[in-house]
Amino acid sequence: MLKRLLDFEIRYQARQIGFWVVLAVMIIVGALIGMFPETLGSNLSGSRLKTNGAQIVARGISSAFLPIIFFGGVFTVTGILRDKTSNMLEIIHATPVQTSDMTLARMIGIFGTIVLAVFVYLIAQFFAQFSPTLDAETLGPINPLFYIQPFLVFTVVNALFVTAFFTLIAGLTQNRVLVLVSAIGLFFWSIMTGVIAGLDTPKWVEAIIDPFGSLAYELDTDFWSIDERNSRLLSLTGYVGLNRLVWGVISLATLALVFKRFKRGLVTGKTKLKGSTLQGTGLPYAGVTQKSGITADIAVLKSRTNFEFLTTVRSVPFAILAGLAAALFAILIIISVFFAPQKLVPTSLRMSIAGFGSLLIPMILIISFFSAEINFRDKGAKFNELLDSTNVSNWTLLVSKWLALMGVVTALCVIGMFVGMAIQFVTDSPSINLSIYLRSTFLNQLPNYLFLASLAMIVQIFVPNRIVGMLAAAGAIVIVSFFLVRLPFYHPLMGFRGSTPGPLSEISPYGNWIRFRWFNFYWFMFVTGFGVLGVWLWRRGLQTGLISRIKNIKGNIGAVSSGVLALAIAGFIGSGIFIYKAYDAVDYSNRKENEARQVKGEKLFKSERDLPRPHTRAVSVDVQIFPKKQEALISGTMTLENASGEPITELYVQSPVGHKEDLRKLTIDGAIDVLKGENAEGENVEDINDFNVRLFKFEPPLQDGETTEVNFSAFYHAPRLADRSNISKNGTFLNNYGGGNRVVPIFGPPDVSIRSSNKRRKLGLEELPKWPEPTAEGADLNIFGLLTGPADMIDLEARVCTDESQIPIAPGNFISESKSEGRTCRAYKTDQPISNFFSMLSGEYAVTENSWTAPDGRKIPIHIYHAEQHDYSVETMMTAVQFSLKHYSENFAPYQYDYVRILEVPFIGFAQAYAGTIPFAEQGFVLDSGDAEDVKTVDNAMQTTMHEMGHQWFGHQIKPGFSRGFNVLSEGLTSYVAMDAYEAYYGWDKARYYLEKVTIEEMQALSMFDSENEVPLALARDQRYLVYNKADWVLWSLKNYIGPQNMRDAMKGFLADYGLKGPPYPTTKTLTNVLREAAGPEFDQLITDQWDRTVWWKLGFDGKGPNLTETSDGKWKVTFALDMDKIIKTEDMKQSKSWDEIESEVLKEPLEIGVYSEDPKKLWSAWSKLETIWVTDAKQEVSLILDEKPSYIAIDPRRLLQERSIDDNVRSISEGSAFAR
Amino acid sequence: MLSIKNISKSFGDVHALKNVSLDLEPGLFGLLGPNGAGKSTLMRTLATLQSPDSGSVHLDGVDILENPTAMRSTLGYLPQDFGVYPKMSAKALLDHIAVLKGITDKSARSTQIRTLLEHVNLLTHSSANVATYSGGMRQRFGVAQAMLGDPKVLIVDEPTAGLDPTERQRFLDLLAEQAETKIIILSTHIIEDVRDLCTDMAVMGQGQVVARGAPEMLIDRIADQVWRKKVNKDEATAIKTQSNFLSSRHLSGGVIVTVLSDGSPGAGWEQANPILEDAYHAHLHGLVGATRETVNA
Repeated sequence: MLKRLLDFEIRYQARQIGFWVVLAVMIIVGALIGMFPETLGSNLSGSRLKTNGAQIVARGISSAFLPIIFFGGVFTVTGILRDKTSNMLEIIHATPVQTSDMTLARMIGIFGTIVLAVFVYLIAQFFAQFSPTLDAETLGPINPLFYIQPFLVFTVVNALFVTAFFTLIAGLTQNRVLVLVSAIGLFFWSIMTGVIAGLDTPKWVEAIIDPFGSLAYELDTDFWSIDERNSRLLSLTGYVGLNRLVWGVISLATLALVFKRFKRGLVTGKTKLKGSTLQGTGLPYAGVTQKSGITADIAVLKSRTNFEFLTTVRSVPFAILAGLAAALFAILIIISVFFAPQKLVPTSLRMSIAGFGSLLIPMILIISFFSAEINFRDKGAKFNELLDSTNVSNWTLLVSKWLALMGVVTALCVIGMFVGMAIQFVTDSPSINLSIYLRSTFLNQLPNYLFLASLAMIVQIFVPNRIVGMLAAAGAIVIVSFFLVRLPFYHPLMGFRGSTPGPLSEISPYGNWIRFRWFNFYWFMFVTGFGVLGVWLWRRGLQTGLISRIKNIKGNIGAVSSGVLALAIAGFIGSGIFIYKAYDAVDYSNRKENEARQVKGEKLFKSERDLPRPHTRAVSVDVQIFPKKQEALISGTMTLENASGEPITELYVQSPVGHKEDLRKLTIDGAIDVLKGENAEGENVEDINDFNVRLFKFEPPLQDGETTEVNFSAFYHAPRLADRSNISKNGTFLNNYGGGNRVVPIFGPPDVSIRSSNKRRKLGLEELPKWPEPTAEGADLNIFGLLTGPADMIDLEARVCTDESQIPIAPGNFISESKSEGRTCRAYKTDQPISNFFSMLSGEYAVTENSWTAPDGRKIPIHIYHAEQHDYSVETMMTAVQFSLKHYSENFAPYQYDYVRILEVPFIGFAQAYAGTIPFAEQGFVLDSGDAEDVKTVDNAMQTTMHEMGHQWFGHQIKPGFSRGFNVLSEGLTSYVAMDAYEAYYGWDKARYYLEKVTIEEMQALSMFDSENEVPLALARDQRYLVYNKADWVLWSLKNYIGPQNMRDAMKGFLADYGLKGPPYPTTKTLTNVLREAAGPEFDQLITDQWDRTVWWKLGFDGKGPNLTETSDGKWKVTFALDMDKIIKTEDMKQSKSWDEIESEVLKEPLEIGVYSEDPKKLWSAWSKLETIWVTDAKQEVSLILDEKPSYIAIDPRRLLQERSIDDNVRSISEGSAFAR
Repeated sequence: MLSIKNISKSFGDVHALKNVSLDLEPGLFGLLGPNGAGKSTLMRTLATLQSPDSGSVHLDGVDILENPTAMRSTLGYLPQDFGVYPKMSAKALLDHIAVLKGITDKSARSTQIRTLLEHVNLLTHSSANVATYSGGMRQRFGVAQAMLGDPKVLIVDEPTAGLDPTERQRFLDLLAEQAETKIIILSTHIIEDVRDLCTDMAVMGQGQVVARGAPEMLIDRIADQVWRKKVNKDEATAIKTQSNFLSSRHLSGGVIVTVLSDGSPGAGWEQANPILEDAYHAHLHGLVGATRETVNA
């Protein structure tokens, strides 16, 4: 019987259209993921992480269960609930078939269908590697085991779990809708597991909370190198094994429970009818006038909208889904604001950002679910015949359903808003800023969700049933939200979404209403057009197939709807043309065109990049900022000197502004502006001008040592439809290097070349020439020459004017202030040269003032300019500035400026150090420094301020020479000295926590985003994880090996040799020579490993141990075997080898062993003994004689060697016996 | 007047309606026919829920296929099988349907709903969730909703199915009261309902109208031709194969068989007074001469 039932199950599932849709979707998804592996993260690492490598394949299979969550629900409805949904329950359940056979057959049917769905996905993913669209460099050798092993590891248990989960829900509720809702709930849970994993959760908990094993997989592979990720099969002895075991048992137990408890027959209870006191009229039946026309339609619209909305929000699915969304919203706020290592001040903006950040995926699911639910509600309730036989107009039915979904979306956003407000209200938080909540909810979130809801409703017009409607709506939203923008021919006109008036800030109003109005109008017209089509194709009566509806469309076309459609089309096309023209006016180019333009630009300016360029020596600017209008006018004079050693005949000048017409004046004394003809290389000048670059010719040539003056005037425009303004209504920040708008021109041709080597290979471009190798002698050009054109040090004079309510600021000493006609002007002038790197700012600020007295008696005023309500981090920042000035002055060199200014800036996500002037992101002013005594917290207000202050020494005094690895001398050294100051202020443990939690974790994460090959630190390009993180780590390492004072002295000497000096500028080679000298020859190999090679150590205990014995003299002897490996990247950086595979490689590694009486993870500095041993053998026995009885041994407790995973570096010990911890 | 001309409707190879024509005036019109005869298809077509493949339907001269609103604005419809929205009381759902029907006057709406609930005997359960009603109660609710507003055309498909004798009579009385001013199309299997109430009727078979006329007229056509006899099972089986067989029913250990014959079919046969059921079978089986041609002409 079971066999026959199974046969029937398989045939029945195979007869469902949903079954074939699922298979088709899985094949398509598998093929797409195989052909576009960037969706699984392979692009993050460029060609390094192979498309058909072990990790990408395994990730694909584990992520295949995301769609399976929903498909499993559908299969379960088909398998378990079909008797009820098809009204066959009483007939089928009255047959003599055994309940156990019936249940088992259905369970196996669902399980088998899920396995089949994943199998076809796998096959599609496998064959996709042969797609000609794939870059051969992104493929590794074909290994079927990479597919088979993860398929077996993930699919069997996951399919069991999905079957168990849904059959349990189906058995408990007997409700089709609730099964589908539970699918969304399961999806929510999979999001939540990611959130929980972000906390300081024990790894074994992290490993088992995700039923699909993806998190466990990430845990197991978190510290794998790229090579391992490409080639290593998963071991089942790790977290994945634990996860599979736990969920396998849970799934089987659940299935057994369902199997045992499965009830046949009717399971609904009898409902007692409620009585009513309604009085009759006693009248005979008499007709009542029925109206038609617009009055009746409006009454119907109102009634139907109320009905549709209230029915939805009162439903169990809404209660469950809204509850889950609100819980997610609250949990994310609570975790990110109150429980993250860096605690935040819970302002209304913080609450909104944290909460709404969690809402996108739940909202997509909820919209997809309810769009179908609302659309097919009448048919689902079998009310459609009654409804459709009434005189109700199609448009009222459609509009009421659309409005109901909009209402649901609005209700969810409002619920989120109230959750945020409630948390803010009940916690010790700043007072609620209602305006921020309202703006965040209704202007930053709701427009997009309303349009997504509209899209889901548009999809419903064309689908055959509710299930397909849900899946199609989700698919459409995902495509529109995430994939459309990736098309090479993407134009903003294609980006279906709601527009906001700009990012939200607590200190500056919105910046771009014009974009908000036009784009929302444009898409509203689109939606309206489809709305009319929806009315015409409305499912009325019993012939509701799309083809029937299209055949009958004529009967639904009326004058009014035609008029509305005509208006919508006209509005859509008209506004589309307007928007297109606006983008055309700013020369918008899509990705493909942009690449072509870059290729052209690279060719155009290739040889010109080697032309001699003058050095900037002085800059004088007049900056007129008009915050209300969001405009500015900047004019100025720049003095250039030819210090190139050869005559300059041609000079390319990059305009300070993005649009040609906004550059109102640009002249160079002694040079003519070439507007027509060709340059010396025969390139057309008009082509050059297209890159917003002007060509000047000196006649006669500008001789070596001669100077000339540049005069310019530029207009900085208000927001435009296709182009934001660089001027904020409050908190303007302009500089002289970034973005399309700069304060001054840049001299020399632009570098527009495509940086990605993958992309270059695809486009057939040759490799970019490498930057110069770092040499001990240093480089002639410093880093600022790369950013802002050649210059050594410049004199800056700036007059900055703004509205009277704002304060204008620029680097330099404050000279004077004047106020007239509602304007405030301030003059600044440097009294010592600064780097060619400056900024102009304006804002309505409260000013917190203090000072620091230098050892030479100079009093340095410190001003922190901040929004009045944002004083949360000001005290910490002030302390950080004062401590930095003291620490860096004492240990490195005197502070070179007469002032320190920190300024709050909205709409940026960073802080940046200019000469004594530090623009600092708004969010940096709402950080909670936390408990100073709690070593497991991070204080970024302190750390970042110390970092930016550090740049005043490393960046502004030490100017990195232009060569490979240059940025290590700026960002790397600054990260290190900031950590040094942080440690000096907060103590070693808190610094170690920062190293572990921020520096190392971030390095690990960011390294996966590097699309280029990893290089040794001394040669790093703009690879953040190297120049910031690795540099910080290796300098921390050396400091702890050789002692902090030795390191500080070395830095002091380095600054004495190169600080505030002209060429030659130091390179990483110069720096490592300084370090080698300070550390001595015994650390020479370590410095080579850390700087000139890529080396990872693997440290651990070998076998059992440690063993502890008491010696005859009352001391304690601890013995254990050490297991060390050293993985070295080969010279070509293409593969990693163990040290013993490399000829002539010897092991002589300094390694610290810490002895603890308490668990070291509580306080790493609480060692009773810390001993450095030199490891010369991979397996080495270590013996330590101790005065006190130890409890724990930690290998490398200060994290001085670069090791990926330290999970096995600590062991507890006990007398006479030992056990692994 | 509701004028149906030559409408046909097919679902794949199945011809649900074949060239059906009917002209209906106010009054109770009964529609009889076996399962699959096309009654519901005809009802749904008249209720504008589906379009015929060919033919036309006019209500007071207005083509309702071109202008379905003309029918919907004056239609009361009770389908054979219908559902209700969950968690809505009878009163609330009737109010909602009343709004859909264009009854914008709240007070008039309320009065009519109470009156109807009283007439269908649901007043005491008007606050209860309709989804929890028994089959009979739900049917009465269906009757009430059909009569909301002032329908000039009332299409009721199996309205008395599931009603107990008292409720059935209550409903039939309500219909009879409205028959003077409304075109009421009553589709049913219960021949007594048609016999008792309808002044006009049609018999449908295989998608066609096989007989049309007042019940008495259809009965008159077979006057003096109906013969009955009590036989055993074997004889009954043999008689059922005869072309003039009308019907049979078991009674007291035997089988009463009825045939249509101009003269006595033989020994033991007794001439019987024809009833509407005999006329129905006679017309349905094509035993009455020239019936189809007459009706469809």
